[in-house]
This record gives sequence, structure tokens and C-alpha cells, in this order.
Amino acid sequence: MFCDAWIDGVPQGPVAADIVDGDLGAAHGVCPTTSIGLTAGGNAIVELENLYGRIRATGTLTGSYALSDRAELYAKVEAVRFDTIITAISVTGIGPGYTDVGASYRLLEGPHAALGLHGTLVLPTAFTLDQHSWPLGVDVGADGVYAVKDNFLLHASVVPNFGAALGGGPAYPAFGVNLDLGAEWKPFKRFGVVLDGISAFGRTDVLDYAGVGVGFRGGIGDHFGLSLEARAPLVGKARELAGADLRGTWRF
Amino acid sequence: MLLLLLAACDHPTCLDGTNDCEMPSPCADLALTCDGGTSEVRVLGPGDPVPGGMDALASPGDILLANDKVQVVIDALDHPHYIAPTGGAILDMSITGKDDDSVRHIFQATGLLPEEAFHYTSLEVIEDGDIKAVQAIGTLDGYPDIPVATRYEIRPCEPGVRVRTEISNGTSDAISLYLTDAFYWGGRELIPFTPRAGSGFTHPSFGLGDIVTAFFDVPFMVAALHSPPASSVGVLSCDDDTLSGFQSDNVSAMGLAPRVFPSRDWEIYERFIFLGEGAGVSSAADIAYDLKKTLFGEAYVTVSGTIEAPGGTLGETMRAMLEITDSDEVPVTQVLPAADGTWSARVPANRSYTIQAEAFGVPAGSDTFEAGTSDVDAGTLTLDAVGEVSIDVTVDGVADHALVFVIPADDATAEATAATVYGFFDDCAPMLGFTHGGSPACNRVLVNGPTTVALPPGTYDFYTSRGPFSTLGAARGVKVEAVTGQSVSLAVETLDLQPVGTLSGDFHVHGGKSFDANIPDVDRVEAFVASGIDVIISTEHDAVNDYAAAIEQLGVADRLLLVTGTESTGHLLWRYRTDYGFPQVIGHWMFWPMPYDPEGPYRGAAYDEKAEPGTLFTREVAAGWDRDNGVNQLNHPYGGAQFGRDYSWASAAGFDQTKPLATEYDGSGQSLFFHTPEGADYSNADYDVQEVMNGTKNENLIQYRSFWYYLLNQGIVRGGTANSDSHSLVENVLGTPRNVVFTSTTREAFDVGTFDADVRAGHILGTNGPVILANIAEHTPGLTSFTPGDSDVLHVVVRAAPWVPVDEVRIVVNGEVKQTITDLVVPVDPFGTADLDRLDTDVALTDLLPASGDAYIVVEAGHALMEQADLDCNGLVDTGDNNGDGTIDWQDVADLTEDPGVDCLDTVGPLAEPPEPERDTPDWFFRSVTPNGYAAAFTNPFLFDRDGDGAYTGVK
Repeated sequence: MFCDAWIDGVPQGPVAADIVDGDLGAAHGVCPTTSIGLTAGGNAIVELENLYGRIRATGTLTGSYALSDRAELYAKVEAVRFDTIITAISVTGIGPGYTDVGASYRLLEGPHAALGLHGTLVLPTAFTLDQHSWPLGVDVGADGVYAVKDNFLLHASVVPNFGAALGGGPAYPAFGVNLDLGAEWKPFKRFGVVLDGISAFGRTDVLDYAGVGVGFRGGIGDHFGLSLEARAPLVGKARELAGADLRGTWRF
Repeated sequence: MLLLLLAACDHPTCLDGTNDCEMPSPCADLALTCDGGTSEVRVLGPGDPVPGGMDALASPGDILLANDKVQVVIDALDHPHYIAPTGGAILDMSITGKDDDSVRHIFQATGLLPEEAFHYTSLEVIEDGDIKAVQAIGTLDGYPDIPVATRYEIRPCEPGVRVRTEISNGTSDAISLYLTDAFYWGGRELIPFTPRAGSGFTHPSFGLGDIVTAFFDVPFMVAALHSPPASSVGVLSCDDDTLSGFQSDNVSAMGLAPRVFPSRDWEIYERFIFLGEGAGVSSAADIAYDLKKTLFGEAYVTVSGTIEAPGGTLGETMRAMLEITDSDEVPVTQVLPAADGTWSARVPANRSYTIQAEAFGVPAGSDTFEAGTSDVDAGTLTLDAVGEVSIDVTVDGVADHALVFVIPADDATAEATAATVYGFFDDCAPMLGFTHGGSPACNRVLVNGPTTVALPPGTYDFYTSRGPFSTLGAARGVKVEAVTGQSVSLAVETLDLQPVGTLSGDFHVHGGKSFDANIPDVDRVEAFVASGIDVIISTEHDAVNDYAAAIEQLGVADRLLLVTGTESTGHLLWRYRTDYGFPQVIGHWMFWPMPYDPEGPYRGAAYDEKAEPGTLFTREVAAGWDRDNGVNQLNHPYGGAQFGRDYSWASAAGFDQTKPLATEYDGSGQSLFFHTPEGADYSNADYDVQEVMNGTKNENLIQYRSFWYYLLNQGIVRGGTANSDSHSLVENVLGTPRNVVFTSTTREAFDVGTFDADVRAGHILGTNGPVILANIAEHTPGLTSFTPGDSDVLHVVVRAAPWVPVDEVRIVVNGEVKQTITDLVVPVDPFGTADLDRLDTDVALTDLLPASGDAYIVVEAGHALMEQADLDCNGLVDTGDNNGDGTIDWQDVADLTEDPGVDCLDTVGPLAEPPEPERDTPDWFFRSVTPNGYAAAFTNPFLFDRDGDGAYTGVK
């Protein structure tokens, strides 16, 4: 079956570098895994014309647990989050970031394809950043993958998402849909590349952004994987210049 | 549990996008009571009484919050002032019944950028029993998704206003949040005091690029005037024991510590802004310590004592000031003793303190005391004794108004008396009074009949003149001893120097209504008279003032021709150039005559923000400026910026003098000159005259004339003017320089229309001393061109008072000095009346003009100009030979320490200035009444049409 054929140390799935806080609306892999990982990531906004720049850097712990060959629980904890706003009065904040918890379930699987659902809850654990509000997020997405060849996959995901704040202030509810379409190619057994078309709609505007994601992935043995990935909005309302991360994963 | 916690928190209430909300009362832990307290809130209507004072600008539509102690004016939404994009800010604050408004403007912002100011869209009056409030709701100016709301609340018995501000981030991105009140002092007025170790009145200097280094946490801030009528304003947080911000005499900011403000987060800031009666810090600081006891349980005690100060009168500014500092070097307050020498102030309990006394700005004694938990008597502190001098001035034998300069006669006296007001403003020696207040100010005294001033012991020279066309009155080497009194008499005579058929005029004069001036109207009018000027154009920044009450009080209506005008001064930064990355303003522009409207929000001037010059001209016409019969003037074309606000149009537009001005608009600075903004009736070029000389120091003459010649070379003909830009009795001397306007109207039958027509026509000599009379046949300087005859000569006569050194006369042809004449008469006695005639000569035009083509001539006289160079390759000289090595290069640039290795530098300046004169030389005497200046005068151009097209159209 598909998931059995693609289990090794090389990371899989859509480009994971996040743009939105807590990575709300992110795609998720179809095949359940049990893994732990460490990610160093960041993204930046550079708007010289507005005298505004933002750099965000995170150190994130990730983990997943395959409950069965269909179901997985996963979590992502931004253990350290660094934010700096560069403007006339520049400011910097450092502390814990957001926490994601979620679950996925593979609905269908064949020799060349698989389809699953996932749901993620973004918890307001950035206590030093969000000093008064409690921003929450939730998304439920469908993720699919199709193996065109043994070393070439196509993947797609549609992830409706919703965010709002508790805490007595305005909730600022926002509903959106993320759409990712991409391809993974493994020219070598321990090395692969991924190229995604990324897009998001409805959260801040009709088109939040449309752009590209690219990643380079390698594996050492059957368990350890390393990836360097980046996403960059090209059009739309999103102000991010790019987001990138370096991720190491141990797959059990 | 979480919900319980949330329910217990203080939440924003007016940030959900609707206006049908009411913010809770701020500062719930504050409780001040009294008997018979009152409170009121009302929208001001026509004719309503409003708070008075030099900074007062309340007008109908504004909202008055008042109680038995203070009055606070919130400006109407459509009456914005200064840096705030809309109304809804604190415009005036005064002690009830005192008319002592010293608060320029207090508004809210989250940062320094224009889009980070609060833009209010609704103002609502709230009454709840004795609680009266105004609630303002809106958004950040550049972020419609970031709602803001502020409640100003007043209750009986409270010496200030409670303020609560709410903000939330409705954008999807984090921003920098510095939730603050911006206190716009304007300069030359209030100076902030913060009780922080090593601070007090001492604050780090900063620029917009390194402002974060100037941020400090302080328990409270008080800003104090040191010149009556005065009140002192302060602020402290109701929730935290510190506030965060920066201080300067231009702007202070006090608010919450800056932080990252993520999407969907919110913040609340509650504080109390209070007012203390009188000059100095303690009146407001006493309130702060009382409030901190109520809010945070911090105990204080009252310390009192007595000052003995032999000589002079206590209670006057600068005679005696006490700063009290604890053992951790935290200045906690500052006190001005009463006239009987008694003083008291509140200080934190349980500390050891030092009292440092200053007299005339220099240390004058100190003492210590211990403060426990009970009030303390600090005893008597005796200051060094001073002397007194009675000064009398006669003008043409009659006692009259005069401005007297008191100057140390020897280096020892200069060194012993040199002082500043706690590091602010100019050095003064001696510091007789608050630098920018009424007389005495710095080392200057207004005299009208015998006038007594206290002076530290030493030897002094006393000088006065009635402008540049009189003798120099002097009493030199007067020895002042402690506790003794003596008299000084000065006599000046009017000299036959001002040409017949002229009126002198100063077209750039500020008083207390200007945001950066603090001189009372009466002192200002006395200075008008003392200057000997015929015509004063009163030109307050962004306002109009007719000085009617002061003129009437002094009874000098028959001695002054005062025309009301205004100096438009941009505050709101905006982007109008496509080739420049930062928002700007358009510099300063003058308009007269303007109708004075005592109830208008700008007293008759137009709202002038975010407008190119052409739009500004259109707005001023709508406000009542008579375009056809009045004058608009480009002020000081080149200059820097104050808190990022450009002083000067040519600098802001970045005109490159190596290239002609662009006639097609493309958004670039070079194309702005001729641009007609959308909706405007005029182009940016539709102004009449420009300043060629500005200020007594006259340091930028060479750049201003450069721009004038640059325009003349292109056939853009504008008159040149010379103005003092005086803001007080200090810095610039009113009437120096001045315009001598050749006009048919007279003092006795003055017609402003005729006068202005001659100004527009360039019938002006600009001077701070030399008088240049030039003619070519029957033609005199002006903006009407003529065709000279083949045998015509330029006839030049130069005259000046004996104390005005005229080293050379320059004949400028097409912007270049063609001939310099240095063989001039040198007066024998600078204090005499002889040797007025310095030069009388003819120069053939054939020796001056090129063989053909249109041309122009300007005649200049005075001190030799310092050599300067253009190091940034824009055609404008910018740097002098500051290291004296004979060449002008990168090593002369103050901010360069190594060779940048490029032909055109990015960093340049400063210009070289004439050297400091030796004591008792002609230049020294000139500077005694023309501080830091050098003699200079210029004619307007002779314009020659020599290509037969009927007009001067530029140098080809």
C-alpha cells in the first residue's frame, strides 16, 4: 500500500515552513507516523516604504504518535519564540510560542494514493506575547497524495480554518481556507525536493496570499530526516517576505 | 477557572467597532475629595469664556472639561492641531481662574510614525453626576483595523484629568506598540523633569534613529515653565509605579513600555494628567507624590525652609532655584522660593537629601537634610550676595523703550556667570532670567525708564541701539559689587541712515502664540518699539495674533504699524515625493495680511497640514488671505528638521542646483517647484518673495542667496527679504536683519496694500546694518526689467552706523561675484556719529555684464563671506574650511572620521562661520547688539532685458 512504500527517514508532505502564527491552516501528511523533531524556523516582513520590518524566529518541538496505521496524534510546541519589530521604535519579545495539538485519520489508501483528514487546535500559549488576549485557532483539512512514479508524488490539501481571540477584547474572528498543491521528487533514495503552490483565502482578504514553497529533504538511515524548507507569498494581502525552517526528525 | 480570571480583568469596552459604548471610569483607586467641588463639561460655543494663557487656543466646537481646580480643553475633531491628525486631544490646560495655560498639546500615539497617531472619528460628552467625561473613538491613523478609544474624565476637587486609552490589534500582523501620550512642548517653553538617578532636568539627546536609547522608566514626569504666567503639567500611571518614555524640550512621551503587539491582543493605559499652579517643578511634583501615596501607598513628607538671598528679588525667575536630590542621586523635585524666601516641597519619606541652590543658573550653595516619616524643616540657606543695577536709556534725548545687552567685560566675569537653564537653550552670561521668557531674559533687559536688575558681582558692559540705524549706546567696564546698587545710563541717537521714502519692516516675528515661543505679548510689543522698526508683520506659527491688548496696555498704538500674518509650519509628515523614502513636510511659508479671528481654531490662519505649497496657498486664500494684494513668502529655503519636520522647502524638495527645475511633473522633488497640486488654484511656484537673510546670526545667508540666484538664473524672479525670525528676546534680535522697503506709503498714512505691492515688486534692501543705495540711470533695484544703455553705470553708495563694520562691497552678476570693492571708509569712533559714508562709486556696466543676453546685478555689502564648498555635488555649498588647512574636503565634515573615498559625499557640513572677534574690535561691538552676527546687506536685483523679448527671462 502507499504508506508502506514511503516510510523512511526522508520527511514527506507539503512544505511545512509556517507563515501564520501557530501555523494555522497548514497541510498535514496522510500517513501516520511516530516521530519527534526539532525545528528552527523564522519568517520576515520587510516593508521599507512603511518603515516596517518584522523578524520572527522559533525553536519548535514536534512529535507525533501513530495510534494505528490510520490514525495519528500530533503536537507542536514553540518552546522559544523571538519577535522583533523594526520600525521607528523597535521592540523585541522573547518567550514561549504557540502550541498545536491535532489528530489525523487516513480515510482511503491504495497502491498509489491516499486520502486523509486532519484537525488542529492552536492553543494560546504565547503568554509573554499575547499579554491580554487568548487567540485560539482551529482547522480541519483534507490531505491527499498520489504517486505518479515511485519517486514522484503529487499532493494536495484543502484546510478550512478559523481563528478568534478570547480574553475580553474583540474576538476578531477570521475564517479562511488554505489550498496547497505540490509535488515531491526523490531523485535519490535519501534525498528529495518538494515544490508547492501555496495559497490562502478569506482570512484577511479574498486572497490572503498565493505563492510558492520549496524544500530540500534528506535522510540518514531509515529514521533520521533533515529538511530545509521555505515558503514565500508572492501576491495577496499577506505582508510576509518569506518563511523558512530547518527541521530534524527522528522517525520511529 | 479561566472564565473567572477573565471576568476579573479590566477589559476594553469600546473596541468592538461600535460607538454605542461607554468606557469605564479611569483610575478607580484614585480618591480625592474636598468641600464644594464642582465639575462641568460642555461644547464651547461662540462667545463662551475659554481658558487663557500664552498657549491657549480653545475655540467654538472644542469641549471644555472643568472643575474647581483645572480647566481642560479637548479640541474638536475638525480642529486638529500640531502633530495630531484629528481633534480629540488635550489642547489647553489651565488652573481655574488663572489663565495660565502652558500646555501646548497632548495627544495619543503608539509610535513616532504618522500612521501611529490616533485618528479619532467620534467625540461624545458623558455626564454621570459629578463625573464629567469626553470619550473619543477612532483608529490609528494608518491602521483602520486598529481601533482606539480614549476617555478624559474630570471630577470635583481633582487637580487634573483622568485618562483611559484602549487599543486592540485587529490586523493580522504584529506591530510595535508604545501606547503613550505625546506631550508637544514646541520648544523654548516647558522643560521636562523626571525623578530618575542622574536625570531630573538632564535627559539624553537623541535623534529619530536612536530614540530607543533615550527611553527610561520613571515614576512620573513633570514639565515646568520658569517664566510667568506659568503652570506645570505632570503625568503618572494609575496602574503601574512607572511610566516609560523619552524627554526633550520639544516633545516628551510618557506611556507604557514599548512591546510587540500581536494580532488580536489589546491594551489599556490609565493615567492622571495634572496641573500645578506656578512656575517650577514642585507645584506639580507635590501632586504627583500625593497621588502616588493614594495609589501605591508611597509615603512622602513635606520639607520646608527659607532662602536668604542678599540682593535682587526672590520669586523672580533664575534668582534662586532649589533642586533636591536623594542619596541615590535621584533628583526628586525642584522649587522656586516665594518672594519672602520661604519654600516647601514634598519628597519621598525615609531618605537622605541634598539641596542644591542655583542663582542665575550657576551653583549658589547647598545643604542636606534627613527625611523620616514626619515633615522636615530644612532651615535657612544663604545664597551668595549679588548687586543691583538701574539701567536707563534715552533715545534722542528722551527716555524710551530699549533692549539692553549685558555682557561680561572680562573673561573672569564671563566664566563665572555662564549658565543655561538646567542645560536647556542657549548659554547666557549672565543668566538674568528664563532664556525665552519675558524681560529680563538671558542677558537682555527691556528698559523703559529706569529699570533695576540684579547681577552677580563682576564687571560688565552694557550696550543698546535702536536697530542698525542709530548710534551704539554703551556703558563699559561697569563694576558690580555685592549688595550695592548703581546706575547705568545709555544714550542712543537716531542717525540719518534710513533712506527717505522707505519704511523698515520685519516680516518674520513670533510671540507667545507661536508653539515655540514663550515671550509674553507685552514684552513682545516692547521689543517691537525698541527695535525702531516701522512695520511689524506678526507671523505666529499656524496662528494669527494682533497683540491688541498689549499694544493698548503699553499705549504704543501710534508707534507701531502691525500687520497680522501667519507662518504656516507643517507638522504632519506625509509622502509627496516619489524619489524620497521618508515622509516630510513642506517647510515654512508666510502669508500676510491675514484677518485675525479671536475665536477661530487657528485664530484666522488656515489648516495647513498635508498640503503642497499650491494647496496651502489655496487654503490661506479661503481663510481670508488677499492673494492679489498680500504677500506670501518662502521662509529660510534651506535648513534641517526639528523632530523630523523639515524647516525648509528647498531642502525638503531636494532641489538639485546643478540641474534646471523640471517643468513636467513626475513626482520627483525637482518637478515639484512648478507643480499645481490637484484641486489647488495655485502652483507651488506662486509665491512672491523669499528670505535671503534670516536671523541675527545669519548663518545660512550663503545658501539662501544661492537658491535665490539659482532661480533668478532660470528667469524665476522673486523678491529677496531679510527678517529676524525672532522668537524671544534671545537668539534673534527683533528687527535684525530688516527690510528697508522703498514705498510711497508712510507711517502717518500707512496703506498696507501699497506697502505689500512694493514688497512684491522687490523694492527692498535687506540689511542688518549697511545701507546700499544703488541705481542705474533712473532705475533702482526691483523685479521690473529694463534695457540698459551702452554707457550706463552702476552707481553704488554704501552708508552705515559707525559701529557697523563694512569690509567690502560685492557686485554680483548672474549669481557670481564679478567685482569686490574693499577700499571703504573705516570709522574712527564706533560710538560716535561720524563716518556714515563708506563708499560712493560708479562702475560701468560694460565692465560687469557679459557681451549679450539677459542678465542681472545684485549689490552686497558687509563682512567678507567665508569660503564654502559643495561636497555633495548638488550645486549648493554646504561645508567650509572648518579645520583651517586651506582646502575644503571630507576632513572638514564634522561627522566624518575617515575618507569615504567618493567624489560626492553623503554627509556634509557644517558651513564655516566668521571667526569669533577679538574683544573691543569693530566686529566685537557689532556683535554686542547683533549676537553672533556679521554685517551683511543686499539689494534686490537689477534685471536686464537685453535680448529684446520685453522681459528678463533668465541667464542663457
